[in-house]
This record gives sequence, C-alpha cells and structure tokens, in this order.
Amino acid sequence: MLALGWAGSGQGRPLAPATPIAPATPVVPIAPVAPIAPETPMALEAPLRVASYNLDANLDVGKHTIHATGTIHFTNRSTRALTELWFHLYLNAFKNNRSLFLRNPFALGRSGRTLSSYGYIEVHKLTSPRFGTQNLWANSAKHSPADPDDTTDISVPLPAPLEPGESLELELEFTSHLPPVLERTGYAGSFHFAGQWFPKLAKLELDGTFAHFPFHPNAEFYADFGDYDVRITAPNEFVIGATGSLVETTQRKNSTTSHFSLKGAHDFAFTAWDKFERISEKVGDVHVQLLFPAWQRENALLSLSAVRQALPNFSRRFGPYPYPTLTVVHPPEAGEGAGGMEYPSLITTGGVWFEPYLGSHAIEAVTVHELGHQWFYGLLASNESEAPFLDEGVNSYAEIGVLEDLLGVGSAFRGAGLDISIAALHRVNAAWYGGDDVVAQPARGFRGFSAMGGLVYSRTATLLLTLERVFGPEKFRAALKLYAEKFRFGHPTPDDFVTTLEKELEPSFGRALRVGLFERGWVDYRVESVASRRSLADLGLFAEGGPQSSRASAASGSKDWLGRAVVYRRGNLEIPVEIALHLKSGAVLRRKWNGQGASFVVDYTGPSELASVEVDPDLKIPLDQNLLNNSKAVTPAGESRISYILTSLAHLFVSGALP
Amino acid sequence: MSTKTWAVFGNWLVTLFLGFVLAWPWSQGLKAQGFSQFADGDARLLSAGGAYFLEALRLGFGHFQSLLLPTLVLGVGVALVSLVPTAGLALAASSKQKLGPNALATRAVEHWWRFALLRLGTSLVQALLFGGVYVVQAWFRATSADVRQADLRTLSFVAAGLGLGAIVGCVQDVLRVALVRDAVSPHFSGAFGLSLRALRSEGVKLLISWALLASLCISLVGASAVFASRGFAEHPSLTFGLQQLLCLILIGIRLFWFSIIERALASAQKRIKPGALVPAETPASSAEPAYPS
Repeated sequence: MLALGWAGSGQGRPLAPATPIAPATPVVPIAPVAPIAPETPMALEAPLRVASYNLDANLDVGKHTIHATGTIHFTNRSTRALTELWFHLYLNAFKNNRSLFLRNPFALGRSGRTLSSYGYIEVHKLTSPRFGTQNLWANSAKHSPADPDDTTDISVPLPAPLEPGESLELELEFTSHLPPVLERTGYAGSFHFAGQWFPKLAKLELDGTFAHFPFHPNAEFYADFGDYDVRITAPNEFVIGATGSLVETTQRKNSTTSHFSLKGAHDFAFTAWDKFERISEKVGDVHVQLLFPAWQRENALLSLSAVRQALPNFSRRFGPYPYPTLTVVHPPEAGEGAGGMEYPSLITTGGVWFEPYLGSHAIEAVTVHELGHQWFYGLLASNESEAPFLDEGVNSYAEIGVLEDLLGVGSAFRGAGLDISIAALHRVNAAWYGGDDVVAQPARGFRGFSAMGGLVYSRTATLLLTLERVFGPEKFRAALKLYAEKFRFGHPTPDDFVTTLEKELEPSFGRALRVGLFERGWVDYRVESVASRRSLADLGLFAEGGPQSSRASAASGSKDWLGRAVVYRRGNLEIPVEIALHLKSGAVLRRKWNGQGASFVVDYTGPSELASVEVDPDLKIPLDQNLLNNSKAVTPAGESRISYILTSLAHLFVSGALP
Repeated sequence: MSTKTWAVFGNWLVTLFLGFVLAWPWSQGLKAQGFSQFADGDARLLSAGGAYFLEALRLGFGHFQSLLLPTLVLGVGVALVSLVPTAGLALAASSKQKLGPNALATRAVEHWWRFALLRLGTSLVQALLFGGVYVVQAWFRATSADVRQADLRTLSFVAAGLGLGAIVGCVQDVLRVALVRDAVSPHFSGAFGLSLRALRSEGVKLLISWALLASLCISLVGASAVFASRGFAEHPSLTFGLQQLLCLILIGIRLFWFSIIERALASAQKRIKPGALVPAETPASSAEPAYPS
C-alpha cells in the first residue's frame, strides 16, 4: 500500500518523451468483457502451491455482505506434522473499536478515519472429508492469542495430525459483512471493494510453524502461494473486476456469475460497482483492464499511460510480469480508502480530479508504486508484517527509477519553474525521521504510521538509492535483479536480501547496507571550515648543506594560492564521498574520501584562489542527514535569487496582475 | 510629469514595496538556510529535483510554519492597501485637471474605504455566483468538473461561471472609475446610476475591451513566467528588472482600461441632464473639492 510520501532523484535526466495516450479505446460501460483463458504463468519457475482456494461468492449489494462456500486445498509442505491450522480473519479488524486494528484512538492506521458501522466474518462451517462431518470451526479459538478483544488470528485444532507431504481438503462456508471503506476493503454507496474478505490460512513455514499474527494497523499480509478459482455472483448491472483472468460469465435473470482464475498467487480481491466504466488494452502480452468512474476518465488514462510504460520497465528490471491479466481500479472519491493498494494481478490507484492541474504526478506515482508491488509483494512474497521494508521499502526504491524513466526529473511535481522528484520527496521524508528508529523491524514496532512511512518506505528507498549511486548503478541494479530472480515466487527474508546483494558488491557496501537497515544507520557530511591565502615564500633559518643561512624575503615569494578545508562525518554510516573544490577561476577539482574516520582535511595549492568547498556535489548520498551544511565558501555568494523570485511573485499578486 | 505617469509610477512603487514586504519574511527565511555557502548560491534551490528546496523547508519548518498565519493576515492587509494605488489609477484616468503626486495620493487615500467596500461586495457576489453555478451544474448532472473530459453542457457551465465572474469584475472597475470621477460626488448611488447608464449603452464594447485586455495581460504574465523560470536561475537581477518592466506594462494596461471606462462614463453622462446625478443640495460647481494640484 502506498504511504503519503513518494520520492524522486537528484540526478538530472532528460524528460522522457510523453507517450501519447492511445486512440481512445471505446469505453464499455457495464458490458461484460470477453473471458481471457487462464494461461500458464509466463514465469519460468512455478511457485510451490500450499493453499489453493475454490470459492463461490454471492455479493448482496444491498446488505454489503458476501456469502461464500467452497474449498481450500492445503498441503503440508513443512518438515513437521501439523496438529492445528491458523486462519487470518482480517475483516474482523473492523468488527468493533476494541480490535487491535481500531483500538488506539490516536493511531487509526493509515487513513486516520473512523468507522460509522462495522464489518466482520462469520464462519459457519469448516469441515474436511478426512475428518467426517465434524465442524472443525466449533473448536476454533475464540480470539487471537493473548488478546481477548481481537479475533483476526484464530487457531483451529486438527482432530489428527497432518504429516509432511499430506494434503487436506477443507470445505468452508462463511459470510463476510463488509464495513464502509476505511482502509482497503468495504463499500461506499454501491461501490464495493472486497479485500481480505475470506478466512485465509496463515503462511506455513518450513519448520512447521504458522506465521500468524493479529492484524495490526501498521501491518499488511503474508501468505502461501496457491491457485485461486472464484465465482462471484452480483446483480447484472454491476461491473466486476477481480484478481486473475475472467474464465466465463453466466447470466441469469437478475444476476451474473463471473468466474475468475489465477494460478500461482497468494491473495484474491474483487470489486463490484454499477457505475464503473472500463477500458481494456494489451500491453505486451498482458491484458490490462482499467475500471474507473466516468468523471475520472482523464485521470484513469494517466494511470493507463503509466502502466503502459512501467509494466515493461519493471519487467526489464526485475524479471517478467507473470500473469496474463492486470486490472487497475480507480475507486470513486467516496471509496478512496480502497485506493493505493496491491493484490496479485490487481492494483488500485486513486486521486482527486484536479491533481494534474496543480503540477502533481501523484496519480502516476500511485499507479507505478502499486504496480511495483506485483514484484515486491506479489512475486517476492515476503512477510509484510515482520519485515515491511522488503516490500514497501524496496518497492519505493524501484518506483523511483521507473518513475524517472517515465516523467524525468519532475517525477513528483512540475510547475512554477520547479521540478520535484520522487527521490527528493523520499529523501526529505527519510531525513525527517533520521536515525530515530531501526528500519528493518516488524510493522507493529513503529510508533505510528507516519514513522513507518518515513523509515520503511522512504528511508529504505533513500538508503538503496544512496548505495546505488555510490557503488555504481549497473552493479547495484544487476545485484537487485539477481535477488528478484532468485526469490521469484518465494518468500525472501531480510537476510536473503542482504546476503544476496552483498555477495555481488564489495564488503563496504554490505557493511553500509546492514548498518542502514539494522542499526539506525545515519550519516551527515559537513564542511566545517575553508580558508584560502597566498602561499608564502620561505622565511626564517634553514640548514642548506652547512651552517644555517637566512632565506630571501616574502617579496620574491610564490604566486600560488593555498587552500584548506576540513570535512567532518557524523553518524555510524561510512560511505565513500567526493569533495569538490571550486576555484575563483571557475575550475572545479575533485578529491575522494573513503568516508572512514571522523574528519578529512583537503589541502590545495594552485594558481587560482579557492572559492568554496562542497562535499558530495553530485548528491550521490541522498541519505546525508543535512544537505545544507555540505558547502562552505571563503566569501559567501551575494546575489539572492530567491528574494528576486518571491518579490516578483508577490508584486504580481499585489498589483492585481494575478488573481 | 503627467497625472497618468505619476499614477503608473506611483502604483508600481507602492505595489513593489508591498510585494517586497509580503515576500521579505519568506526570502529571509530561505536565505538563512545558508545557500550563500554554495558555489551556485541559491540557484541550488531549483536543482537536483528539488532536494535542496525541500531540505530548506524541512530545516526551517518551524520558522516557515510560524510564518503562515502572519503571511495570510499580511496578504489580506496588503491586498486592501493596494486598493489605494488602484484608486490612484482610476483618478488619473478620470481626472480632467493635472494632479501632482501629493494630490493624487491624498485623493486616492480618501477613496480607499469606498474601494474596500466595493471589493468586499464584489468578492461576495462572485462567490455567490460561482457557488450558484456549481449547484446548478450538479443539478443538471454535468459530466465532470474536469475540463479535460467535459461535455458541451459542462463546458457551458464553466464558461457561464467564468463569464459571470468576469462581468462582475468588469462592473466593479466601471464603478471604481465612476466613484472617483471629477464631476460626480463620490456617492455610491450616483456612481451606480452612471455606471448602469454606461453599461446599458456601451456594455458590450466594455466587455469586449476588457476581454481583449485581460487576454493580453494573461498572455504577458504567462510568457513572463516561462521566461522567468529559466531566467532567475541564470540572470537573476536582469530577470527581475524585466519582470518589473512587465509590471509597469500591466499597470499601464490597467490605466488604459480605466480610460476606456472613463470615456464610456463621460458619454453616458452627456446623455443625461447636467447635475442630475449630483445630490440636490450640492451645487454642481462645488462637487469638485479644491485639492492642490
């Protein structure tokens, strides 16, 4: 899911030529789309299927409920016999204001909104042919472990152990009562977005434990791969968008059943609304479908344009997109809480209609961010609750590169003579939280979502961007691609991430990465002082092969200039840095410091006077805690452009030339 | 120098000063962040994808946050004070006798409260109009507020809203000139009457003139913005000088617009009986106060 800050780069790159929006594909309101046969995923590797779901869901758009029956095919891929199963009932986060998700009135998750009515899951039946007709749910725990008020993390004992390699067919029946859209899931009027709507098995680890956790407002999800076959029945006039490919539709008098299928995924979400418009087009081999409110058509086209360029871009960087379809949902304003979220082969975007008029590229940024999650969450399905930096942080870094390819240096904002890049936004957000807390920690450890946004999203992205620029973009990107390929359809851990990257790069890179992620790493380079003067001729007494003799006076001295600057490094990150010496003649000399030690002295002798000294002149270290102490001048520059600019603007305002 | 020249330069000087006052706390706040230590000075603010600009805002966050409310109050105050040079322009356009800078300033200050009332009234009417158009367009279910995808119905609502707002602004200017005319006592009732007559007879001409001049001003400001976005980074003082020249031209255009209004008001006045717009107890000959020239 997207945090409020995105970011961009300080590296000036030419603006990518805007790709014109393809000739308007006819808008097809409420018309059924042609089914796309589920193809074999394009990936070379196939995921290990652990939990596959086959569900029949009936959406009652008046009551905002989903009644579903179906089966879960579960295989014990661990090394130990299982005596219990763990289910996540994420929707119970919205059951009452004492759930872990809603109980803190000062930290209502990401949106900060409150609920007007509540949502929950009722599990009516959980049986298995292996255990006869016994309703396993009757023996389930009544609440999350050690938390009587929360019911999002529920254990179900098995009547007999399930040995390694054995499979279990579970039959279940449940009713999901959707809440008004607060975060990700729910309804707003007739708009419905069903995310985390079914009882979902927790991820089974190799050692036979389940990675289960109550649903914390900072946290997201973690699950095993499997196949999803879901049939959704809704009134005829409703347009359905869902994870996976539409296999077939069956229309009855008042309702239509749409069958969606997705192989090798770890979640399933769908949306239904009677006011969706739809645009479809093929991007490479992928059928892209865009669902949006009619009045947001132009903004939805911005999303489509971003997908058109970003999908092949991400595929080049991190391996091919594996699914035959991608659905992009632009929710209406009333359901904006469902926007900015990722599911396998389905993403949601959002934004108010006038954003592009303000110079903002927020709509493209949200789209690219969520699309990036198809890799860092979808394919590299790390534990989002325990190590959110692996999906949100690495994805925020990935989003920077792709957005800059799309939009150039003004990737976040362009207007009024100012370009703001997504990297710059991430950098300032990262600096705001500095080394306040550890980046690589569980979502529940952060003191509020803004702290998590600053540290997990922005600080990870800025750290990786720093390492990319310092240790070489080609090497770094190749290492990251290797990581993405190695753990494709897998569940990488923080250690997998770090060891894969450091193996490909030099040892100092690995040290910086570990300190940056695990040790509240920070750095601030600062030019402490700079001085310049004419060099002196030798004065005083010198031994020159015999008795001491007096040397000539200064009058016959050298015409060279001397200069000296002292640069300090604060913080626990040692990152190699360049230092620029600006001479009065206009020439610029460069020196290198490996970043080790607390300070570095730069000496200069030459024909021109030293004007100023700047550390990290190319902004290769956006992680630098304070950019404004990076330079020191012998004589500070006089002319102030900002005074001229602001006075001019204010003058135009006052004289009535501007409204 | 002629009254009009005084008025234009006076307007320029006063608004430049007011603009400077408004901008000063912010420019000082940004300057205090230490950009003079960089080889390229505060041109750095506009480079590196805004990284340094955002850093300056972050490091000076407390200071800039504390400036928001005072700037809002100052902005309203400055906008109100700037009505004085506007009154000076209207006076210069309508005055038949030569006025020196002191007389012009004194009379402009005397008219300030009327201009302020007029401004408040106009803003209120414009807000009501825009609000009304918004409600009506919602009633008629226009496609979208976004003009990129608006249908003809929506566009006509947008045009109606903007057009009505412009007409109200235009009428405000006619009233401004009518209020300061030599031959008319500065009563709202008399000014309204004369303005209505002028608008009835030459309303279309006035609106077309206004539209043309407004388009010219918008084009000039737009072109200048494009030029300035680059020019300030490379040649700040030269760009500032050219911006000031532009301001002088814009003020000149406004004076020209007021002169057009004055001609319309004069011809409207010719068509009515002398003294008809002057209150009965005030002889027409004494309507003109004896200001030093």
